[in-house]
Amino acid sequence: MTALGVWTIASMGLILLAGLDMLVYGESFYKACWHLLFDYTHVPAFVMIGAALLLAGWGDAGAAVLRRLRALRIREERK
Amino acid sequence: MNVVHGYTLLLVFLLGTSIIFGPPRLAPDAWLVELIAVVPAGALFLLFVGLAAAGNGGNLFDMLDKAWGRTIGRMWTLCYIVYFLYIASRNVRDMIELVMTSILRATPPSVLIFMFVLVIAYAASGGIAATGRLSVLIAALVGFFFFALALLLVFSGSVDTERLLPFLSEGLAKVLVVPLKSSIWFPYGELVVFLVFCSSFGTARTFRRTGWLAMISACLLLTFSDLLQTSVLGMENIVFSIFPLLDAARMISIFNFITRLDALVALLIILGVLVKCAVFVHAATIGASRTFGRHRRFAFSSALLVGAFSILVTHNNAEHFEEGLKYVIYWLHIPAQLVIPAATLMLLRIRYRKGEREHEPRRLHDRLEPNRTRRGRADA
Repeated sequence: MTALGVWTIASMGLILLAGLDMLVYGESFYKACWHLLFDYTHVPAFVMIGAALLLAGWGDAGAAVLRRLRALRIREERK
Repeated sequence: MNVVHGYTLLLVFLLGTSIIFGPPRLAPDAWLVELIAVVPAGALFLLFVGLAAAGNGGNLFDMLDKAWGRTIGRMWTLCYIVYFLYIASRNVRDMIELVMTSILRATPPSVLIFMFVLVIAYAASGGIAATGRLSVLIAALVGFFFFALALLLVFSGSVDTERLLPFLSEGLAKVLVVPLKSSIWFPYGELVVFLVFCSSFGTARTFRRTGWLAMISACLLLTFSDLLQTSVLGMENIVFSIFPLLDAARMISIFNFITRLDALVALLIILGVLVKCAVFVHAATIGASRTFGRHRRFAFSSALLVGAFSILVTHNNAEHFEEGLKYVIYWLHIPAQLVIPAATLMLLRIRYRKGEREHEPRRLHDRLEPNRTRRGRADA
């Protein structure tokens, strides 16, 4: 859920930035997204977004593993 | 969070980047604009206090859910999360532009941004009370450095009060209109983020008093800062200056020994932006955890998103200022700081009138005796 949240917030943020670029430069939404996504100077930004998603996903995966282990332990105790 | 922590947190938040940039140079007497702006800003703050009081101890996101319902409330929550992260990213960008201009010219901006957002993430993960305690130290440092700069400017003979003239050269009307176009929304309107933490201040009354005190203190300090900048640089030069306080600090020269105090100004903005961004990221984290669950993990991810957005937000400084002065005010600040809070307050007042509690779960004895009234008398 954390990764989904980070992905949702990142997507909405990128849409907001593209929308503001549309207003400033008077270009279409498609062009604004193109300039946002396909610009080599923006690579560090997408690396950070990727790191945020990875961090969130790692946390979710870790939590899922812990839940599974807890469920197995409870099942063992009931036996 | 006690009153002192709350006051210093609000003060440092308001001073943040404003002390460096001052109000936009839309009118010649910028210091007067700053002084007048506190009046409409106070009215806006009263709206926030009214919302805090109507929220009954809940935070902004609780109020949005209560007023608009679960679905639309969650949608507004997501919008506010993105809004807070965007404002934080603009502040980081301001800080990076100044730091790269003054002290770290060769360092890649991405490296600076990455290191800074890690610090913000750590500050945000500590909670608002920890940020409040940190802000006491930062307020002392900001105050000390700012007044040191002012004294050094006076001693170096750079201050000439005649540069403040002519007074009201373009009339009073322009000076009265400019606060409504800019100063009310930045920095005072950004206090909307503290609706997420209003329960940390205690009651709505404490929030109001602390906020008023911080706003008046910030107004006086910012007015003094603008007077200082104008009397050092002059009205003609200040219009073309991107970082007026930095340019003013560069004029300091005492016996050719104490010079180049750019680093002090850079330190001022770093400290201010640290607190501002920590508050915004923490607010976004609370909203995200409310919507998606699991509080702490969002702090570092949100801070990394702030770093990413600060790279993507604009291509250059000119675009950054134009976007901030024209488009962001009308498309983001006014809806987020005025329209949605006002609509939410109105809906809360309509749906939860004083003395009536709609949607309160029925108590056990109401279910056992459905004809019993609230005062405990059974109907005939």
